[in-house]
Amino acid sequence: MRNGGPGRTRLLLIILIVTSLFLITLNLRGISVLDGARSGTQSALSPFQRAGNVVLTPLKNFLSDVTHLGRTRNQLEKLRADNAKLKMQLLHRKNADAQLKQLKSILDLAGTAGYKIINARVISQGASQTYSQTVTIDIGANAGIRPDMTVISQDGIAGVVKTVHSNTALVMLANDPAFKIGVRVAGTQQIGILSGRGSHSGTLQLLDNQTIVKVGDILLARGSIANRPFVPGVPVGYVTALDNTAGDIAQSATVRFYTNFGTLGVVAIVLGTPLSNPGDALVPIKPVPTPTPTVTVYVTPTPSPSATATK
Amino acid sequence: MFTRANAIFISILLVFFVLQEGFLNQLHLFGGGFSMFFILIFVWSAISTQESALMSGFIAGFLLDLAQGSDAPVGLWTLIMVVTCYLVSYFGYGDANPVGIVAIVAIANFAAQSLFLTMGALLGVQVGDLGEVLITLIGTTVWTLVATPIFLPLFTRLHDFIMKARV
Repeated sequence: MRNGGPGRTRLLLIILIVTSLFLITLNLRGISVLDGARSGTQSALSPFQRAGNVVLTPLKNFLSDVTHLGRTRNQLEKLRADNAKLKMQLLHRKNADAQLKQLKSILDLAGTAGYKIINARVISQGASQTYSQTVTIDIGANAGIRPDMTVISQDGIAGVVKTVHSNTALVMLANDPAFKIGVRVAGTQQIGILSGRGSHSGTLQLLDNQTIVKVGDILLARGSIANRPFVPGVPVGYVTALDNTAGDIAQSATVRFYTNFGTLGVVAIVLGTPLSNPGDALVPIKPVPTPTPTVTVYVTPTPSPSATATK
Repeated sequence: MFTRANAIFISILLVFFVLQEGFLNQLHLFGGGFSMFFILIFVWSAISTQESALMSGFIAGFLLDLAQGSDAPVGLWTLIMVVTCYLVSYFGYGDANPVGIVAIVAIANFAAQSLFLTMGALLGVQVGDLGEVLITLIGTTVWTLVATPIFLPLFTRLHDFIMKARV
């Protein structure tokens, strides 16, 4: 571009300014002479803008993080808080699901026997320093709970109501050392007394010296007078070992409780029973063991090369 | 008057325009960032003749008018760039001191944007919150001050190369 002198430059300046003003005037008067050019320019630029967006997004994010460090930190803190909240919700949800499952099983159990029950949530476990196995449930006298009512879980007997308050109740669990329940071996009329041992197992003391139990026998609650403290037919546990001590008047055995006392979330308190005894209707179905396939491999020794060479 | 040098310069201008619109504008640097396109035009105007600066300003302004997304009328950037480039060339031509060129480019950047804001406001363009406008105005000026020394050697060499290629 040549410099053609001050006059020429001024003329060019005037021409360009007038052209610009002309363009502005046309635009302001609504005469869109350059709309096509404008849209064409945008169309031509858009692939580059898209490419730029793809290429620069990581850098842009980095720069944004650097320039908004404080805000990013706050956002991070907020996200952490949200995450913790969601985790807690998920935990509650899982807890609720587990309780629902327990409740469903309890209802199945109670429904089979025809018990009239009321559900309760376990709200606390007894302190281990007291050496007793108890739980507190969230309903009490206001809900019709009375002492010496049977408490069942999804698997069977859970315990007995020990103390009742207006809105809570203390349940002595079946594994409490002070717990004793009259039981009957399912399928027979053999009876005994089962006592808790503070663990997942209890001790069965048979009452008749002519009676013999064997490992795997299932024990059901025998029931009490007027169904208190125990209703009949509730599964209690199964025999895991026999204690054949010489000199014992009657046989004793170790019994594994069906109820897992460590995971009690929901229990049911039996308010009433049907007129008829459920008998063995609540005996749990034994799980069918899955056969483990055994693979036998026969190895045929190959003759050694040295032996072949000597021949 | 359309020489090979002009053709090369317009091509370079287009390349930098695409670079600016496609890539640099998307960085969203704090304070508005810098415009390599503006720096190129003002450096070019500062080291070129007034006639050359006028033509460069006109082409650059026209490209800005075509590309901008605001409601400003077509021709506004053209007018502003023509005037600014002319003034940059008027005050900067013959100044071989890089510091002086950097200062002129930064002032031109500030002036061009101020003119756009003022004239745009007069023509009914919504420019937004005054605080934000001031941050962008000052921010882009500071960015220009920082970025111009980096690009100045490149643009000066380009200028020399094209001027040698003129027919």
